[in-house]
Amino acid sequence: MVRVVVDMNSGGGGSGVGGTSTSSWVSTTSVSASGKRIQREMAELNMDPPQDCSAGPKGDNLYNWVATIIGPAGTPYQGGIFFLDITFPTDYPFKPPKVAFLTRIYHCNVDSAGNVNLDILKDSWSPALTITKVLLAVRSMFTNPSLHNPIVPGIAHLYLEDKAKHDQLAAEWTLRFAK
Amino acid sequence: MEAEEHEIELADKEAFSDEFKCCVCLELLYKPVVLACGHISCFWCVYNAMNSWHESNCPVCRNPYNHFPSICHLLHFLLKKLYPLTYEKRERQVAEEEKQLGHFSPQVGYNLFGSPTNKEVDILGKSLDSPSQQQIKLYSESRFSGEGKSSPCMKSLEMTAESGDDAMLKLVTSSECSEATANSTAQECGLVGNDLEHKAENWVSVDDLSCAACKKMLFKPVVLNCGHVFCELCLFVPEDGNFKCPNCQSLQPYGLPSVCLIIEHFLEERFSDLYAERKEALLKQTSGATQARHRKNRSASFPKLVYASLWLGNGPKIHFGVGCDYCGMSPIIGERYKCKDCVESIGFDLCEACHNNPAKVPGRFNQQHKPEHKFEIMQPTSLSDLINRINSDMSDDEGSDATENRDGVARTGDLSGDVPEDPENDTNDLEDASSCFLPVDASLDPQDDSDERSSDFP
Repeated sequence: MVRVVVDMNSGGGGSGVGGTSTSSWVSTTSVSASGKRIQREMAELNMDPPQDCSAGPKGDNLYNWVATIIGPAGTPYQGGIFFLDITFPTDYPFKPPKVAFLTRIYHCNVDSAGNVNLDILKDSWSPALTITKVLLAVRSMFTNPSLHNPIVPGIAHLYLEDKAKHDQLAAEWTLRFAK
Repeated sequence: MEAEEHEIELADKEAFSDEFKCCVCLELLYKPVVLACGHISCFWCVYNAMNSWHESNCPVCRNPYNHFPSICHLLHFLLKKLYPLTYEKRERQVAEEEKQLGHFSPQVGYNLFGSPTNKEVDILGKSLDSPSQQQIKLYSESRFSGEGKSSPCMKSLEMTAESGDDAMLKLVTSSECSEATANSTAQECGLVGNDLEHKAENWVSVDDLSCAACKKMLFKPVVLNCGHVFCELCLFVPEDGNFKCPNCQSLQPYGLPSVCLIIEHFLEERFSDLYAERKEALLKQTSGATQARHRKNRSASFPKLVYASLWLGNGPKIHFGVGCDYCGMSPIIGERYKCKDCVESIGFDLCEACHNNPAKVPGRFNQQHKPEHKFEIMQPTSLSDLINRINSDMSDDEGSDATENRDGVARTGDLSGDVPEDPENDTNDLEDASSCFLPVDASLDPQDDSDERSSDFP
């Protein structure tokens, strides 16, 4: 027996939802459990935004967000504004959101398509995690790249071999794509 | 109707402590379930966060567990008293959701250890939120008026009379203020306000938070798998490991659970004097030896490896997605007994131990098995059946966007061992699907969908 998730809006798992929940999220009576949770997160994010981060729905689809992270000072990404695309599954928070960079970035944990290689977005996901925590994790990735588990091994290699060159390249990319 | 809306509005204003916020739904805990690690979530939040394939992990600390604990009644009634409006709102919300789903959480019966009414002796008011200064004074008076039970009782009687007068006064003023409106509506508003005032006073007494064994206020509260709460020191774990709840005699799967720090913290804040007193008294009583015995290491009751037999077929039977209604073991390991007389669709049957020793407490999903009920032993679903079922489920409700979903999964790159948990992982042909059940799935490459993503760089 496949477990039923407390979400009546749509049976589809994967990417966002179609029209079903987009129109109804404004009303407070007929929002699915995942929609309610996303609304709560949005309210909390507005009340107490994490440092250098912002996030919110793209249009009127609650399940599709855009987030920005400002490159932290002291890193080659300093001053860059990085846009991320966040898609919530309909069984959120029991499944992780999909997070991808829209802005190109030279980082060993982000591939050329923008996919983020972060364990908490995969098998280490926990329903107690929120978008705020995910954004902070991505932000800390700027300062501490996970070199043992890179998605682009070449960049990690360069980081270990010649950090100055790596930083220079990363700064160039930041200047080119994120400013 | 207006009054109802008004109440919802008021419920939004009734701020609750972050400690009682469910970490999963981010709302006030409803029908709280305390895991063995001491972390709390709502009944449905725990249920949905559980893994139907192997052991589950606490959302907060990732502590592994295999049993879905019962609702903690003590906490349920405590929250109901603390935040009556919000709790009621949550109740309505969840009832609506349950109606849509057709699965119902267990009814929480009358508080067995709690007090019969809202009007309590020995009350400690929440001073900041209390509506009138006068009442606060009275509260503190009753708090410091000594240990004798009788005098606070008298005081509280006086006090209720006081507060009644106060409310009357309020009612009069409110009707005076709204002269323009019809008299009846003013009366109604006054009544709602009056009601709220009474409810918002947080009539929580020590009786609401007493240990089921020593009947005193809880000290280092521990919540068992069956939902009963005891002081840590009131429980004794026998050497043979057959640790039973002193209250309902149900077998505890993990030994002694961790102290529920949220309840403890609440006690420390609300009843600081009394809690300190209890601490001192108990420290004198107990020697270090007994404490050491109590602090046994707690871990999941089954080794992780057990679950591999679902795929390898070399161990006990694993019943994917089926939990035990009495002890909460999910998935069931060993024989699974399905009741032929109880209709129940959520997938909670009985495990062997619970079938042989029927529990006296109601189950997780309210199945009331009577002696005349017949049980049949169910065989675990075979792999090929599972794949078939997943496929048919998918064609039922996902249909056309199956391929899209597959891309979605590929992007999250779920490379862990629990790949088959996602029904979307399978394509329509069986051969491909079976490859998903390999422990490490090479076909799910997180990079292979690069062309799918939009490339609009700012």
